[in-house]
Amino acid sequence: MSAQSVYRVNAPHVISEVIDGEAIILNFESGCYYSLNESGMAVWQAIQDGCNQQAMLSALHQRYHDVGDEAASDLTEVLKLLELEQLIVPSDSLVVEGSSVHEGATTAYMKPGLEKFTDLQELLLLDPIHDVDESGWPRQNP
Amino acid sequence: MATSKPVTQIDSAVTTPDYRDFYAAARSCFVTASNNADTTPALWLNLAGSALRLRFAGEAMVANVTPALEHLLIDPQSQSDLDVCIWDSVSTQAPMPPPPWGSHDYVARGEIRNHRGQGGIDLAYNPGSGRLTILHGDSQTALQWTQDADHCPYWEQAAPLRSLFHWWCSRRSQQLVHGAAVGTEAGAVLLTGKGGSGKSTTALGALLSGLDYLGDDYVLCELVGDQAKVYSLFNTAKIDDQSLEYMPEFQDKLSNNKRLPEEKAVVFIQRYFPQQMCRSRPLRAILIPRVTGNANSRIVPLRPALAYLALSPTTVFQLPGAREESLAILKQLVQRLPCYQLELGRDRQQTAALIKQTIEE
Repeated sequence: MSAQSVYRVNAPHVISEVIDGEAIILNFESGCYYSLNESGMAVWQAIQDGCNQQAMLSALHQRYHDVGDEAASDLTEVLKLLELEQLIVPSDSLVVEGSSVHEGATTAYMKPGLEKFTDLQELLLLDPIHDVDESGWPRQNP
Repeated sequence: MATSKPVTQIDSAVTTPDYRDFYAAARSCFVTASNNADTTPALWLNLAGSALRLRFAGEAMVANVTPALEHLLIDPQSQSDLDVCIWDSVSTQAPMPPPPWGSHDYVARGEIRNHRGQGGIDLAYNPGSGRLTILHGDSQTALQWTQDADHCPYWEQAAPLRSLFHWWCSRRSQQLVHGAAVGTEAGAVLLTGKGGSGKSTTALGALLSGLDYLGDDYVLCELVGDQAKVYSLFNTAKIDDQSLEYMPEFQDKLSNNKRLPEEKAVVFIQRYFPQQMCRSRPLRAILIPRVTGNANSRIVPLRPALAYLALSPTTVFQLPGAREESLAILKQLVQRLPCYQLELGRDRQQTAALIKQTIEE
């Protein structure tokens, strides 16, 4: 991971929506869903904008006037976490230098936080189909 | 630079079957089934303003599909918005052509791997219920087939044609939602949250306390201008053992008494509370129930983001094909309506009064 690293959202497995200063993220592969706090949401939007890590850091500094040097390590940490959860993947797209998230902060800076929810995973669990009948359709259990 | 490998993507180079050919073959199977059947009953539904004609090849599937939809039945119309062809192969002796996908292609939510609406066709196969559902939007025709009508899980009978209703209504900017809804003449509230959060018990408690009922598990929401509206889909209630103990009034109304406790108890509300079963209401608020064990319930304002977190994943994870468009509608819902945490107490009369007050404020 370097200042030049670029990521993209792991579509189509991952979709998201920003609401009320938070990003809600759904992972259809794992059945997990996530909430990112406001600074995390800013990082998420910068990823969607195609920014590299340097541009994300710059956007965070412009968005939060009270943030110090800790922003760089905070950013690296949340990017690692997002990648670990397979919500983002490295991208070889062209770098976008600016992000729309440099303004609009409604709170003081807080470390980007990702909350993970696993309580709905069973909705996306599927028993593998082992047995099909002579017509080619899955055999029904009685 | 991280070296971790990107997760597997849907392979765009994979040759996908021609789903239109498969749709045509399945449609022909329904024609054969209808020709083989002694009777071909047709029923009409008003589904949130759309006239649906349910066409059955034989009687075998009628009892699987209609009880949950009885409250939506209407007289035959001059024209349908959507024809739904419903049949099984065992009773009609009409074999279904083999699927053009392999046994490894069944994925979550009933979706088929690499099928993403090609040919204007929505398609899902639910391995648990054995239901194949296809919507061919261009011809305003849908198919629902199963191998054997005698195989009908209780949850399928409680919410028949759910995938189809989702696809059809989403084309009209109406969103199927995982939630319950109850109300008064003045409007309704949506009770949402993951399974076990208390929405079903709250809805049934409200019904017993005299409120109108629109559903306990899935309802339909629509935004028209600044107004939100909620529609009933299924007149069903699914009741677990604990709730049944709490509400013994339902004991003699269960449709699947003989199959308990393997199944969750099912009651068709239209049969026992027809005056309180209603088709639609203006939507006034979103409530997220949480069981507290306190004597009395109370409601506490909730940030839209938290309501969205309770509403959107549990809805979208259950509906085949639901993606960003569904998230966008759900976002508008929580932004336009007041959202509350409903901290559930033990007194259902007091809870119902609180809901009524929330609607009528």
